[in-house]
Amino acid sequence: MRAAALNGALLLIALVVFFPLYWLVITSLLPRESILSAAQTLIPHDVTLENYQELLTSTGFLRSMLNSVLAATAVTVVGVYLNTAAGYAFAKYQFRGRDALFAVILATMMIPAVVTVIPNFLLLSRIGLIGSLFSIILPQIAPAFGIFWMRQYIGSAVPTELLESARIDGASEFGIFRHVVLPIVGPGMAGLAIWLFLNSWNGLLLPLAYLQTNEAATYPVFLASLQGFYIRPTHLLIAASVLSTLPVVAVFLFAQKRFIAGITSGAVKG
Amino acid sequence: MTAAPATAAAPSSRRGPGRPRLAPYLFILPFFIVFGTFGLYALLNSFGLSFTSWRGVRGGEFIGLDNYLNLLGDNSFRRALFNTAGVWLLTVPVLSFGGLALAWMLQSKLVRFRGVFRAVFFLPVLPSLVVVGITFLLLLDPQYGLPNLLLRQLGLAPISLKTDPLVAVPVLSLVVIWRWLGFNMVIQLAGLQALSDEPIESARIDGASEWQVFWRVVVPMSKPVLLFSFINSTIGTFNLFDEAYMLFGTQGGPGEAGLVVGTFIFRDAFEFFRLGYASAAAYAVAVLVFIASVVQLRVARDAS
Repeated sequence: MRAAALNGALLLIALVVFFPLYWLVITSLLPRESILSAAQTLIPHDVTLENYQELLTSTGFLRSMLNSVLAATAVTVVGVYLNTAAGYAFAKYQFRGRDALFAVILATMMIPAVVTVIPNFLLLSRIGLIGSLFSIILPQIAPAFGIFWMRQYIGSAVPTELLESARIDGASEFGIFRHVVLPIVGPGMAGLAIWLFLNSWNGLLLPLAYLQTNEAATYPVFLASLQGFYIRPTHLLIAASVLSTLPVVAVFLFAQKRFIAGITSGAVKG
Repeated sequence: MTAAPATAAAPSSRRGPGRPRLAPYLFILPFFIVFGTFGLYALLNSFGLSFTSWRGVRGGEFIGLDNYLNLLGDNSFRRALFNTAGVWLLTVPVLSFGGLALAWMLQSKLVRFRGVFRAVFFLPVLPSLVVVGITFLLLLDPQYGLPNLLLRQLGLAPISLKTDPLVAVPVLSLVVIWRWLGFNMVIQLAGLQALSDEPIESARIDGASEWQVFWRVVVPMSKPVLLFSFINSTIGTFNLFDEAYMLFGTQGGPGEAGLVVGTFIFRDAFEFFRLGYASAAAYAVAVLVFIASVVQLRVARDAS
């Protein structure tokens, strides 16, 4: 009896949580005349891919997805290396200023991101990067959170004796990082990579402020440009919403455990 | 940021003279070049800007505290703060205690298909917030949105984001809860798994109902994770931008009922180009978030 109530309650919550996404997907499969009309039913009758076809052939959607992929990939690759190297130093070296620097990094994690958007806009426009993808890549590759995360991870995953014995064997400091540390901190880097990628992939504020609506716009800006306060979501907007989410869902289904660890690790946003 | 390595080398207390001195600075240097420029310098720069009349990229003059004083009398800013506080009030208890309750339910041995439930609850974290906004615009369509079809069936007036100021903050809160409940649940789940079963079992043996067990045993034991949820959601609420932008634009909907501090600052900075004024607003909000976080830490400490 209790089991039935508990499972029933969870099922009900799950249906409520799932429904909005289900509704988005089935709406994207309707012919454009049926969207937001009395013809729309819980289970769709006439399913079509024509919205997707139009989206891919006659709009800038693919271009904006490509921009998003480029920016998110650059942020992830560069960001993981910057944060891993620095996180390693904070975890495994004694050096003057270490604790003070780390305290500064922690303090900045409490500050809302919107504070830095304006001064960075001025700086980026002074060096002529506004409107280019670099303007959204650079501010995202060194988040305070990344240091917090990698220091934590390396501190617990890398035995100090291992580093000492490599030193006795005559390995250089860089060699130790490259051949001893990097091979064993893969899971920590993967978690950070997912966090960095999704932050960049999903973000609207930075690209909206720095890229405006030019060639370099990422897909969230493309989507936002199709939407106005007094406009209903169009067939193209709905199809683009589904299509832009599919890659993330695919990765999630294949690597659920690591994925959840990566996102929740970023719970304290920088 | 990184002092000259040769002079800065610490006398290596633990390990003797063979200790590397330059290496740690080289490892942190690339990070600090970028973090120093786009993080620390930006924070200081923004503070400086907040005391100027800076407009666009042209520049401005030092005007002391004028921006901050003007903010106090700015109705839009007050409304944005009020709305943001409303979203905070409606979401944070649900996300923290609700997330814990959901984790608590999911952890029961009676639950079947636990993995499927966990995956479904986590799904809303995956789409970008822009997509989340579009999804809810679709659902809440004044004419054909499902809740409105139901309301009409019941003979009630439909709700409209375009014309009804009273629904703005509740709808925004609903979107935030839908998006982040599963995320908070996963964090709480990890916390619950680290707890010992003993107090819970002995409360049950003493005849406590599940409701009592939850509030009197599970909640007090989960305090660190709950506190984390609280502070995290507080920072998140004051960073709220994408959802509000998609649902209400930078106008903030009818009577600015859907304007939040994120959209207020964006509008001032990138539509009105009042960069000095917007910086002051951003700093004021940062101070509020800081105070709120400290208060939450204090309350949590006093409660124990």
